[in-house]
Amino acid sequence: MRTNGHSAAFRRFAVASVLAAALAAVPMTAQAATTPAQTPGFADIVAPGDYFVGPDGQPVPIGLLGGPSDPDVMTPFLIDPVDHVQCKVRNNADHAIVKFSAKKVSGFAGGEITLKCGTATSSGYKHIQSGKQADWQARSNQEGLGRAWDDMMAGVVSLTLSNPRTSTIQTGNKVCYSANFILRDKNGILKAQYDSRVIVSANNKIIITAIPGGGCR
Amino acid sequence: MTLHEVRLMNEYTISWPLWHNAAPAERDDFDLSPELRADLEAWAKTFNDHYDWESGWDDHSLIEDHGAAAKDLRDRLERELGPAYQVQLHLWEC
Repeated sequence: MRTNGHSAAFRRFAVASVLAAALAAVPMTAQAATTPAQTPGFADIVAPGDYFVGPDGQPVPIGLLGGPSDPDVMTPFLIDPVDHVQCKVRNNADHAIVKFSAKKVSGFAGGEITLKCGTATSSGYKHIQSGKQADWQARSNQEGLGRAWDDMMAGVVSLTLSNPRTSTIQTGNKVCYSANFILRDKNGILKAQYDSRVIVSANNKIIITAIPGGGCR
Repeated sequence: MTLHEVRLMNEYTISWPLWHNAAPAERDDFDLSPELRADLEAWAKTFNDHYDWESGWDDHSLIEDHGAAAKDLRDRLERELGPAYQVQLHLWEC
């Protein structure tokens, strides 16, 4: 399991491409036993010229925060071979994939929030995948960097939890975090704008669901 | 003719269960009758009031009616939205 804080969200791990190439060459059974020498994190989630609107309402160019995107560098993977086996082969709903750092907001202390494998009908990775994979992939396609839906989702969740623009307490000990994302092309033309929506269990400290739109309303 | 895709799907904390363009739709995105709007909201409310992310339905007698209502809502959406729209039902909670 990885820990992914705000600063890590912008770090680039070129080792991921090396790791990916190495893993692609070995059988799945061998992959399951592989422990990465360096754990991949999440690269800058959108292209230069795209903006993440911070909690103060000021747009922050992602490129300035994370350095220019390099399309030749493979971005990291949310699901590593161990996660793959736990989530998709063994169906271990309690397996923890990654931890995010959530900012303290009104009514919730924040802290470490875990994304687990979960199930389609409950919470976590599989619930997000169920019904919303295409939505995340569509956002990734708008981004235009060829990122897999779940890598895109994890990057947005990380930013949203660490720097929410809005948050609300929901029924059933749920907390909604939201941030605004603005995607522009290199000419400054608006490609997409959306308010992320990340629902967290306040008492279990896990990700229940994440949506690339809707905001907290 | 390009078909616009609309999804009918519940999600935790979402009170308006229509989705399009990769996100939950706004209430005024579609021209729907007041009756259908009310029934869509009631369907989503039933889900949010009775389906818990940890334990599922708190009243299993609701499941059959909830599923039947979903199919009825899908059919009514198709009729009211017309041939330019393709309505998809994603009933993951039943």
